[in-house]
Amino acid sequence: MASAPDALSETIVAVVARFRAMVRSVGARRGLQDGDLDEVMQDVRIRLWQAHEAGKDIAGLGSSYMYQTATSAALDLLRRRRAKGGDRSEDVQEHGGLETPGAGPHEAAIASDLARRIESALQELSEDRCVAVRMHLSGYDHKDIARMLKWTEARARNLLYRGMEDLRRRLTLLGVSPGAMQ
Amino acid sequence: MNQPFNDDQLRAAYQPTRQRGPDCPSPEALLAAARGEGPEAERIRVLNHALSCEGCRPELALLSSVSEPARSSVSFTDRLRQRAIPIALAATVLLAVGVASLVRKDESGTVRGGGSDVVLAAPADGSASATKS
Repeated sequence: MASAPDALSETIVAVVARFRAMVRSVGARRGLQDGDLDEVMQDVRIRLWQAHEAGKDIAGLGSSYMYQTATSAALDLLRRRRAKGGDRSEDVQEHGGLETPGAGPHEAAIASDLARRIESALQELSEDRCVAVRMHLSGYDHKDIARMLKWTEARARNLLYRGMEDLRRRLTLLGVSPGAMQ
Repeated sequence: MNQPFNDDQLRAAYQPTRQRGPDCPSPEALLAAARGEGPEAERIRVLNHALSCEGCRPELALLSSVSEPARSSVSFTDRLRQRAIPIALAATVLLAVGVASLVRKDESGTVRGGGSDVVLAAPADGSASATKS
């Protein structure tokens, strides 16, 4: 009798691992933190056990069921955190940017100053160019931009291209360049 | 010589400059923006905030990554729209030309160049010339 729960457990582990790998491959470049993803996957595991107890065939679950379950788990996680006043798990290793674990206070100050200048240059762009550029700089590609903003891919590419040109021109006018930040 | 930043340098340098505050969008608003739901102006506002906020940016990354399935169907619809319209237009023009030439053939039995009053004649010395009738 012990083999049935074991087999079920293996099935759930395999389903969750496959889904986790898929989500991670999409989210890694956007700054998705492993700690957040692990918490969501833990909740998904529990929900799959509950679904099994309610009579669902776990092995036959489609990917849309997994996405719905994970989305609901992610929403619950964020609500719980905000209610507790804790924003997010700190995952120092996953911080992008110029601030590296070995960077000293001088480098950190330069990185922070550069981030502020980029932000003020971004605020001068038109709203649609600005959002396209922010998404691009945060790891979303032009297909993500088109999907989330309900634009055609051609429009997303065009606004992104012009926005990036605009941003570079403004930074150059401000005297901000890679060489000047050394 | 000051070279402008390339994409990778800008990506590396871009960091959120806002902190969590009362104007942060709710998790539900972040999810709606990630799914492309709601008015465009609201989505732009939410995304512009979330991507510049230290608290919201990883939340948006999480929600946008676990709510992905609409992507393939939207891309497919986009692709279909982008490709089908020019093909349909070209097919319509070809069909119209084909039907028109069939009608003209039926009317006269032969296909002519139209009502031109220019007649080609072969002169005695063998060189080609055109004569107005």
